[in-house]
Amino acid sequence: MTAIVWIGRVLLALLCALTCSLAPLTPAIALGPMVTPTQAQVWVLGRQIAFAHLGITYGDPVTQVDDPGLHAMLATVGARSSWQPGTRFVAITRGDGKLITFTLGSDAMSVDGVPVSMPFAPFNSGPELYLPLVPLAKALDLGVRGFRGGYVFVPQIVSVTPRREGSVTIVRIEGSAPLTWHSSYANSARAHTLTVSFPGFGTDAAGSQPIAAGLATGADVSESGPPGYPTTAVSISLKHAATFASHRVGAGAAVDVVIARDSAQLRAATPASTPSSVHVAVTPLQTLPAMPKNTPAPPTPAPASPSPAIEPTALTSSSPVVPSGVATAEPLGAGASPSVPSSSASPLSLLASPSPLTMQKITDVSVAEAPTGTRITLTLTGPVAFEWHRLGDPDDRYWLDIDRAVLVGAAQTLQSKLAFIKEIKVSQHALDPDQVVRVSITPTQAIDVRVGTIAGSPNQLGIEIENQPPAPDAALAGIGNTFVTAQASAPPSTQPALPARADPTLIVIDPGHGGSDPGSLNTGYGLTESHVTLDIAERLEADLKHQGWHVVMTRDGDYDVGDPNGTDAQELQARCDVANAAGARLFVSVHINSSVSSAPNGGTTYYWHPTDRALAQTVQNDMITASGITDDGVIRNNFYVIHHTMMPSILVEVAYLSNPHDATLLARQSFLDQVAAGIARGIADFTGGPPSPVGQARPQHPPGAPKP
Amino acid sequence: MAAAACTPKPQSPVQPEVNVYFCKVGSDALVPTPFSVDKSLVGSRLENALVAQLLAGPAVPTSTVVQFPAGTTATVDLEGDLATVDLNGSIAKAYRGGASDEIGLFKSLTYTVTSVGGIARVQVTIAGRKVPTLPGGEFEIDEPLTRETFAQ
Repeated sequence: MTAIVWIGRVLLALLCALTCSLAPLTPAIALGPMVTPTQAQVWVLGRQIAFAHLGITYGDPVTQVDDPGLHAMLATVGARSSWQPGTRFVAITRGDGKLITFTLGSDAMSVDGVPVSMPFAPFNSGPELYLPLVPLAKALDLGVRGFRGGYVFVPQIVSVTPRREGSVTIVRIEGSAPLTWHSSYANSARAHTLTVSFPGFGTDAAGSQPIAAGLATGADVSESGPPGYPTTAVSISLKHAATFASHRVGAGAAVDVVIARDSAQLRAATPASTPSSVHVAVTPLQTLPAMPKNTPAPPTPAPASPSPAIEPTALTSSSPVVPSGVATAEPLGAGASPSVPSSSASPLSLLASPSPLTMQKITDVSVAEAPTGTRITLTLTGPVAFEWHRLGDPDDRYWLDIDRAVLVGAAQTLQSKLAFIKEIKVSQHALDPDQVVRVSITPTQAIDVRVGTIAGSPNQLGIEIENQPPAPDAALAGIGNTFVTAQASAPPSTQPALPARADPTLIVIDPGHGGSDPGSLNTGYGLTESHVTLDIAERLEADLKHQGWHVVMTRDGDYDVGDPNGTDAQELQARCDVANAAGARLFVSVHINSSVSSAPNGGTTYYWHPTDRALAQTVQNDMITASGITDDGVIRNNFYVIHHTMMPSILVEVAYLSNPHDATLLARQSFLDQVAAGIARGIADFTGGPPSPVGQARPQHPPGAPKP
Repeated sequence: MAAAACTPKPQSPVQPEVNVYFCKVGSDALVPTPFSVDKSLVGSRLENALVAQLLAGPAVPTSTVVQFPAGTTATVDLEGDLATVDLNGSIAKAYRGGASDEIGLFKSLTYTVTSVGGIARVQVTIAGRKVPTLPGGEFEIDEPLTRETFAQ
């Protein structure tokens, strides 16, 4: 069999050489190998790429050079192609600017000027030019893995390079595709570790390396998760507690993690124009095809030329968790002008806009049935940014929040013909101080949702509930915006980052005080606030992990989170930094109250942002119920840590250290358990529990169960 | 005589009676407490007197209201509708009280200072510097406080 294949390949090479020597190519010269169509799936970065013409030749996948699927695949990794019909050369520019060149009939491609051999050469089949996909993927630094009889091309983390710049340490992490990442910070008396995780990225560079650059002492690179959608984590060991920020470099295939001793150093080292803590799951903005009878009139004129057909399946789903396939109002594959990077926008350029945060109105809401599902169309007065979340089984709710938007008119309940859609609501979720319009979908099963502007109408946002269920690895959250068309002239690295709430599974717990600040004291009962808050926080951590949440503690010992010699504000900001940098879903600060009088007793939950009142009230109710502590209610007040964190945040004052009754309770392990269980229950009640991967049962937390 | 009684009194800076607002412990309820002041006290002198009384506590000592830590001092300067209250002494070193007392302190300070006509905002500084919070505190004071700050 192998011999036959090789004979075929030799013949192919001879034939190709012959045909090439008889240039110009014409359809009449239709000599070429057999292309067997295949239904095999191709996935890149958790996103299924739909090819119009995917085939198998000599056992390997091939596709036409102008296939929309190839363009989408390239766009996903920040690359773009250039080819003109009738020419012998295909040039593909990687995201990092390196050039890959294929030559018809040559079984060697050029990668940044270096020849690299291939099993067989690009060839013509009829008038179409076919490229072998696997060599192309390797030239793009993508790992190639099998998945359900198809192919998964996995971007790689290719290098981790530390350096020292003045008082800060910078670790540059480079990937083979535009990066999206999450950060977490583990701090203890003995170890301080900053971990930057890249979902969807694999690595061939796993292992540990020592670092002798300022604050960092070593880096450990590891890959975990399913082979088709792995996560690579870079764990940076630090000499002592530190603060950090991360920002994209260049076109987005690299990130600089800036590590500083304190926030002041960090701010001094990070240019004001550089977005810090950018770790977003960017929903590639798609262009949804116009509906045959699109109800709302497009507020902008349709393009002069008909929109090239985008197959409904060509752009898939809410699955993409990463920056990629940036579909502008100009559909993929259009133009093919190498000077127009329509498919190479970095994630940050998605965020780039002349006025990304201007408040907009939603002037019309409609719903219509499309061949592929139900589409909700929102007509906007201008560009908006949005964030979406999808819970996992069994609670499959989906919601999309549009920031800085006001819904004109009353909230609306929409109907879908899809049997598995129970309810669709469009409402003003928040108005003061933040204006947020929420589109919420309550299904009876996991749903796949496409989000994009309507073809020819960039001021209409389409949210399409697909007929088909989502991919197993489909993302559970992401952000995006509709102002992508403004990207070309906007330097990505100079735009402010949108607040990142990138990890819907993560809760940050902040045990109040610690280290140089013990908080309140009750010497009679031997109680120190910083010890009690840590005790409760550790129990809460266990409860939340039992529910299935990921948890990061701002501290897990008796120490300052920031610089022990820093100011109080730096200490508080350091706690906020942990949550902000991690892109946490929620932030919970645990404190113990105190008064000059021994009379006051009871528990209070504080919030600052009005939108967090419901969270505060839910947690307060459950804490009171679980622990029996006196209910002092929820109060809005301007405490630093709940003001300067970017996610829903509360500060729980559990009880009064200064009150004999409360102090007695605080000295009891069972009471601390009850308080932690109550707070955890409140979080579960408010959020509906942590999102979990589709198809996996969420760990349940039995009512009243003691912590594990 | 009757006519004279009906004649409006000329506008006078004299304020024979003012309120100092104390805050109940364990709640955010205010206790307006009237004090007589010297007629000559106006402007920043009046404000300084009010704040001095707030720091000193109620005339009849009680543990039912929140009080600034002993050894705390304050000076008040006025500019337009803004009063800048510089706190110094023990409170500038470390605050070891609880959240509810901390809120009560600033609420009582804000209500007391803004009880004087024309003053609507209170900028707190600690030992001459604008800071985000008290040392060891949680409540933000880097922006001027108003009565609305404490509105629920």
